[in-house]
Amino acid sequence: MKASEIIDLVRLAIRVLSEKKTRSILTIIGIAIGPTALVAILGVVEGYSSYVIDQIQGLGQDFIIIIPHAGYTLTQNDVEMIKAMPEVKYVTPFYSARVKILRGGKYIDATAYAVDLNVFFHALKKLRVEEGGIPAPSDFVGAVVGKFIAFDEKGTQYYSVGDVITLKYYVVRGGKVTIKTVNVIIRGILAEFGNAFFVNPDTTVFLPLGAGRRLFGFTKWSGLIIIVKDPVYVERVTNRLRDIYGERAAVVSLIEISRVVSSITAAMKFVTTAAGSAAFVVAVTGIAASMITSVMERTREIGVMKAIGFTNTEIIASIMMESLVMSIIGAAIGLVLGTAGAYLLARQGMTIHGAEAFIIRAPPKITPMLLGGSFLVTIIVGAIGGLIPAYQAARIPPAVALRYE
Amino acid sequence: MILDNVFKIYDTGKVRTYGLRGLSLTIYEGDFVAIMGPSGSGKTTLLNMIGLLDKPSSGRIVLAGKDVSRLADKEAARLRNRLIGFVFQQFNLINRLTVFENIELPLIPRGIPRKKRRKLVVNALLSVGGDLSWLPKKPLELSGGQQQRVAIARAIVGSPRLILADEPTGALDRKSARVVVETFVKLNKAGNTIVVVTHDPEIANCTNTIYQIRDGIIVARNEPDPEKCILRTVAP
Repeated sequence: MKASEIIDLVRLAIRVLSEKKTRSILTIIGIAIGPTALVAILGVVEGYSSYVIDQIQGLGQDFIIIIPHAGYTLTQNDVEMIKAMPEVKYVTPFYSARVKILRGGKYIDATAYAVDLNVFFHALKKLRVEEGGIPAPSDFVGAVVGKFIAFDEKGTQYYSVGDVITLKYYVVRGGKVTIKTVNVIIRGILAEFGNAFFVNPDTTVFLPLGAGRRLFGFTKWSGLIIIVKDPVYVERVTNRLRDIYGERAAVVSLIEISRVVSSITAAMKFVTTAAGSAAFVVAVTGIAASMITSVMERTREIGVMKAIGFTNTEIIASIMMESLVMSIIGAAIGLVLGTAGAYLLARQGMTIHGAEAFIIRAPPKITPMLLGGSFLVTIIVGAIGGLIPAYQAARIPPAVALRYE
Repeated sequence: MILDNVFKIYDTGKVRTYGLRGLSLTIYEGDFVAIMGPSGSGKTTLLNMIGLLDKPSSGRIVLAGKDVSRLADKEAARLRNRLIGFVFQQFNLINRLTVFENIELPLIPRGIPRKKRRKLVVNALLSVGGDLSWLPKKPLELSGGQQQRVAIARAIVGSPRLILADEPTGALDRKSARVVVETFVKLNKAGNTIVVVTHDPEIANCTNTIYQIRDGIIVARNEPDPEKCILRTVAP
């Protein structure tokens, strides 16, 4: 078949489709559902997956955290016992509390984190001070605050280095809830970081470890941060700590989170692909049903085309061209809608409940591979859907087709 | 074209029906032939055989010196495209396409570029007495007679050697029928071989030879009476 003939067949196919606009539009919508679902969901899942893995890799692979369950209190003995492990480099306890901060006339939710800041900054390798510096260990009223404590999301600055910031927090003692207030001085402001899974630095006020007891009056550590000498020890140390603490505390390593996230996203991708495949099966039947009706309606016309010299191959090609044109339009719409949908879905964010619930907001990962693959699958689906009606049309003897009423 | 002892049997398993029963017929280049006969006599079956739209159950069909009785579908389609033009009772134009697009259809399988096609389409339409203002119109915007002229233009656009017309005036009023026959006479004078299946003696009498068919066999070969041709009986 010459190129000019293929162009003619495409032109004829477009004329057929534009004659039955409603049917064609409905079929195209049916076709577009598959690539839309595939691109939107896989793009978002892939985006979250890459984000989580990138973040974890940015945090350092040598990081373990212990969070005591209710009824268990971590003590200096625990710190000493862990420090004695040959694979362990640093151990530091930390205090954390939900606080409210008055900013621009409104209270915003934040976290106060009292920790050995040197160890913490070692653990979160990408954490960077944008303005000012880190308070010294003895500076119990000094704090380094997250980007979105000092600024709102539009970039308006409310606090600068040297400003005093008031933190409000709740203390439950003997069944009584009391509201307490502490004032701290901002010594530094952090650059935007993103989530670190056990803490969100962007909305946290970091204080030296001593401030937890002296300023806030906390008596119990919220957990321990452990840095091992080499990432290869993470699994061994984690397992040993789990043996030791059993149900008394949760022992979490970022490598494990990374693995869990990878397996969850792999499962999500599988489910999405399966759901997308179902949409494609529906598209195949939709195209086939639409095309079979179209072929039946045009039996006599097919007879005329055969009479004037179109071969069976050309008849098949002309019918297939209709399904291919619909598939190309459906795929293009699907890719655009899927990409837009992915950005919309990604804006909602994914909430992860861990030591602290936080929302991941990551851009979707719309790769050429994802777009190309979805486009190709849609075209193949169109070809399969058009194949049966095309063969049906080609099989009708011309003399019979011409008699068709 | 030679049809030699051609049988066409439709076998449904329970019922055997004979479309043609050993029909023999020779049509020479430049002939203008009418096939007449009652309904169910085998006229259309014969036309389908001549037009390579159907294959005989037995017998031999020779077209332009070549045995075409057992041609593969593809080869038959190619021969139809190059050698045969069809005109149908119901015009069989594609109503979603313009007149231009309808006439150019047989040129598509030949792979003739669009620019060249325009010239061929214009020539074909003018040679059947058509008007170029019809080209961008849809067939349903034209009268029945005009549509049939468009259909004839489509049949001749590829310069076939043989034009087959199945009741070409069956759906037309007398004046339009006259115009169509006039067109056929003109085309025949220009060297085209034409076979017309018709019930209408006023049409058949405009041809050079009339074959009577009954029960799938040629039963008579008559000389037409030009005085009874529609060109004489109906005023232009």
